[in-house]
Amino acid sequence: MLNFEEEIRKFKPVAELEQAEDAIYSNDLKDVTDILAEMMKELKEKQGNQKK
Amino acid sequence: MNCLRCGAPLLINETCSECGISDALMKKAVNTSNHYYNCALDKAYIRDLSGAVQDLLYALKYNKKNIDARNLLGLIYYEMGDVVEALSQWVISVNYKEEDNVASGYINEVKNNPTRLENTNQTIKKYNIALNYAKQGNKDLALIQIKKVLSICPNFVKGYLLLALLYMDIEQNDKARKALKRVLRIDHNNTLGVKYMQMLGGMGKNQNATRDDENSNESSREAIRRESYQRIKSEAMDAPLRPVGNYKENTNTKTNFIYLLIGLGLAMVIMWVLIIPNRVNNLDNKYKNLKVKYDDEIARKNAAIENLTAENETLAQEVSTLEGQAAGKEESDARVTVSQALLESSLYYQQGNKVEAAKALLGISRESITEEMELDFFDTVQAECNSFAANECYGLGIQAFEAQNYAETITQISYARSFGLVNADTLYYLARAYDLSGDIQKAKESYEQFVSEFPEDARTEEINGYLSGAQ
Repeated sequence: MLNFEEEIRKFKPVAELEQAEDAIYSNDLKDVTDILAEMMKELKEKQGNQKK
Repeated sequence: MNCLRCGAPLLINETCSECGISDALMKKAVNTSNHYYNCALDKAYIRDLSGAVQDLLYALKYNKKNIDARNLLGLIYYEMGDVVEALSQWVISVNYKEEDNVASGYINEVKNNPTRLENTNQTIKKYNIALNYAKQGNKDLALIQIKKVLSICPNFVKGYLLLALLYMDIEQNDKARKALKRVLRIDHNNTLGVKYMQMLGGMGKNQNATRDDENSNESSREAIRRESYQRIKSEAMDAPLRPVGNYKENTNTKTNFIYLLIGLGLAMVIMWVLIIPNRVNNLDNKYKNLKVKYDDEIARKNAAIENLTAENETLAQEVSTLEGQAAGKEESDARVTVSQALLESSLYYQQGNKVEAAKALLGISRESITEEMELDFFDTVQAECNSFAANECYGLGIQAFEAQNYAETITQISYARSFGLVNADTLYYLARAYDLSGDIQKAKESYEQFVSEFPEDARTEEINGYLSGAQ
């Protein structure tokens, strides 16, 4: 049985050409290696703090 | 060796001196990204676009600088009608790698077609308006709007999904099924598309089984494809390399000139064989048509000329006939006048009126009489009557002169002279009558005639006097 209201909520508006710039900037450009690098950085900072 | 991520030099333990990440981990991330890219590529080939998008997103999660994956992702988005998403991915791709990147070409192709770009923008705006209508409950307006969208952009997957949903809501399942088929043609494994199709019962038990069969077929096809890909790859690796010929642009002017001449010669031959005969034929036909036309005109004109000539001849004949008739008529008229005069004269002669008999013959000449009898009569009357008539008229003329009736004088004296009484006396009285009646010209002529014919006459001096007076 089709629930129109529920289904229509799954549809999101499509970005227009004028909003392309915002779409580019809002792209999450982090990959696994960035996450790993951040983790390594945090680890190093923690280690540095502990030594102190 | 440098770090794959940031390019910083690696330490001895193969970790990056800058970001501290192990090189082995980096390589693993890159390999995983490439693996997901390959899977996405295979799925894209069989039009499982949704599956390909998922794999490409994973690939980019492992390596955001996987240019091929990003470009392919943009391409798939473009194929599904998501132009903005596609452009985003391509722009990011160009940002990571400016040179030798196909994404630049894709971006230029989209930008350089402003009409298409504008159509795409209109499509997106109308889709958003249709979605808004649908959410507000104005399903009819949403339907109208979404149909317009799909007429502009026929591969817009989201548009077809919304259309299918709207049709399903108003229970037009056939139309919904048709829309969903379009979705699945573009994107075989579109999640929403498959789900809605199942709801419509378009899949059904058999169709589910078919779906399972399709799944199994799909995996076996994939296996076959991988196998054939591997075989082709190995064959290509084993096959000897074919040398590529040397291409060198001909810069020899002399040879170029010769080629040019040959080309011109060929063009002339083609023209001579194909084009010129056709032109000649056309001109020939045109000339023949003109000739026929002019021949017809000439024939027509000739016929007209002949008709006119014949008419002219006829008319000329008629004219000569009429002239003859007219001449004949004149002759007969003249003949009638002579006969009348003779008859009149004979009547007067029989009555004993010699003067009138003579007068009647005054209008005709002896030459106009052809009959012998008439000629005899004419001569008789002239012999017998003229002299008598002359004296009579002269006497009447003198009487009229004395009575100062100069007109009558002129008439009678003229008769007398006509009957043969041409002397100084008649001329004198005639001239005087002209002068006294006011006809100076005739008087002068008569005076001059008198002076020249009768210079010895006693009245000549008198006449000279009258003549100088008249001048």
